Amino acid sequence: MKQSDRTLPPGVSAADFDSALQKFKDVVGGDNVLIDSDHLAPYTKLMMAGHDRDYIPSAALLATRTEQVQAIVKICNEYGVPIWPISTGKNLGYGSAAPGETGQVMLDLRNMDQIIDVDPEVCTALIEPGVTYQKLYDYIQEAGYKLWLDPPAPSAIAGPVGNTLDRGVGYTPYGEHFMFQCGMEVVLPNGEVVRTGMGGIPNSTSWQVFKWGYGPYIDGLFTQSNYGIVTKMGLWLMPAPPAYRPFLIQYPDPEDIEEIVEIMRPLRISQVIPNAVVIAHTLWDVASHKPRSDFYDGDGTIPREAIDKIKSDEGIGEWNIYAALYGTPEQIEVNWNIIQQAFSKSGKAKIFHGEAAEKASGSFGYRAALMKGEMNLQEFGLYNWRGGGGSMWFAPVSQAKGKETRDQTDLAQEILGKYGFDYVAEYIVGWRDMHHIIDLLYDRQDPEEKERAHACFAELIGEFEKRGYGIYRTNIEFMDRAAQSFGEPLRNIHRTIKDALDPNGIIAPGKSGIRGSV
Amino acid sequence: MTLSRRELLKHGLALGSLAPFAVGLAAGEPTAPLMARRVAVYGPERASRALRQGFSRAGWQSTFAGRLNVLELARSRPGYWIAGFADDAELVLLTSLAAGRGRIVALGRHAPQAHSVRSWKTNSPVSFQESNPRDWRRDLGGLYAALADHTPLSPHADTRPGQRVVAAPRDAREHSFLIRV
Repeated sequence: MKQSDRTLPPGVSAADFDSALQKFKDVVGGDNVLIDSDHLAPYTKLMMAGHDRDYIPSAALLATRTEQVQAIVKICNEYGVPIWPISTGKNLGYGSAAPGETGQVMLDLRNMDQIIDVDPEVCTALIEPGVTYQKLYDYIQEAGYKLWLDPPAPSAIAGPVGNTLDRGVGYTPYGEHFMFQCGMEVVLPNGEVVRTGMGGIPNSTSWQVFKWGYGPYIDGLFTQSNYGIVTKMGLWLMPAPPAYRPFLIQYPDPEDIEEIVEIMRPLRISQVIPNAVVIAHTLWDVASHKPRSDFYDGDGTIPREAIDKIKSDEGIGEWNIYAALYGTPEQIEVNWNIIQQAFSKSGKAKIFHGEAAEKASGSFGYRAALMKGEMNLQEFGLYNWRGGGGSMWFAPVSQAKGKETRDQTDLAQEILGKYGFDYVAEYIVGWRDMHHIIDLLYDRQDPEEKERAHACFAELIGEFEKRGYGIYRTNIEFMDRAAQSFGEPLRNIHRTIKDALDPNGIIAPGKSGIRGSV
Repeated sequence: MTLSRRELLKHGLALGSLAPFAVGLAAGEPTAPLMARRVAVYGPERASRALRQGFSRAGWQSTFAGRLNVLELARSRPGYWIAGFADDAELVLLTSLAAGRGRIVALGRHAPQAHSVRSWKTNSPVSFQESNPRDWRRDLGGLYAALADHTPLSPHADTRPGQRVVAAPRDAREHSFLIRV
């Protein structure tokens, strides 16, 4: 292998890297140290509008035990090798399984996949990072437990640990994933292991039931950060309700988003509707199962006339609300009446459930499955909308207020339109907040379009920031830019903590824009 | 569709199209040795048939495995070659699942009379020109067989990629792949 062909960790000589690689092999075994390009190729598959050369790993390590992670971290400190940990590597549209920067070594924990415990009485689980939602689902089904999961859209192939640590969301009443996390085990940059919450007490029985522990609550430090490597995580599981009613509400016009949100907010805050509701725009609703070329062949943003035709041809709304009720049949009927009364006042809403909902929407089936924690991969169909492999999630947060939601929708459509991209978007309704999830879909194989997508994303961040709207999560190409939005005082705190915990800067340098002072 | 393992087993999908290679791999039996020069081809039937012809001409055995099922791939035992065609969504899933468990030897993008094949195994650009617009999938099969034949069986092969990429065709919607699981 020519030295000039190798990708090395920044600041690490070839000789030192070879020594580190040999030590890694001593820890995890030779088969679990990947250096061949075809083995590393999956870690370079990008969807964001960055340059491939900026995200080439120098190696990948497959670890299976906490002790191995500790040993790896110590080797990294010895040689100054930066590592980028991933769990199942399904952060699609946010960086996928790529490193934060060229030269970083992937620490791939997908084979660290033990389900350590599921307690059906207190409805908790303790799992390792490589556990997928599918694996946990199968485990629960085979054990006969009446427990539901809350997967994000990648469902079967994604994992609770990775998704929760990036503060992802799902679609059931347990949709705010980090809220339902409880206790974690973390390998710190110095190789020490800490158990958070009540886990610091040997033989604790409340590690997975009481979040806060004693003293400062530190679990949040290990989310969207590079302060440690989580090797176990506790989560709460929803007991299966006696009854479940998913439903669909369609609204015809763009301006209806204001009415929708004003009606939905009190229903969400009061938990009449308990789950993370989705309000899907026309294009998202159709893109999960049909390509753009079925409706429009032109360049540039899909025009209003084509969107209206999609609505009439497919029988879908400008806004398509997917929500559900959970509880006893009696509870559901009471809340169903409240919902029908609330949404019927203006006469604009069409309300469906059961077979009527299935007929009304090609997306209802997969949405209903996700809202009860069942796996499916239908939403990956979005990648066929425009084709070309480019996808970046732009995800600002708004208050659950109609005017603000309308403002964000208009602003996003204006900017996307300026750059020739489609508004493929939905809102996920929290209790008081809305996650505005926009999939900037583009042809990544077209250099001009990739540059345009990059510029578009940058403008989205900038213009939303000017109006006070920040994003909740972003891809590795825009981590630093996103961090700027939140101001230097916060960045200084992040840096101070990084210096204290990871003075050699070996864990995921650059994650969320966080680097040490050195 | 509920995708529990129970459901897959019930519908005979757990072994799926790799069943011919799975003979002898039933529970409790030892893992089969590396299946050299045998490939499972996924994708639309007609396109896959042509690709298989290309492999056949190069002396490979192939099996038609149906539409790509990435969950099935995730459950498959190591040591198999897979090739075929995928759409954008399937390709995302496929390359994502290959991390840590497979080698992506080549990926191709195809539009009428315009093809781009990128290999992570050769030290020279992978040029691919169709001999006949109707036969390009068969030609591709031959190319993929050649790339696979150059792949050492040792997992620690000391090669670097030839990552020069021929300009990808615009609006290419057909993707091909060659992966060793």
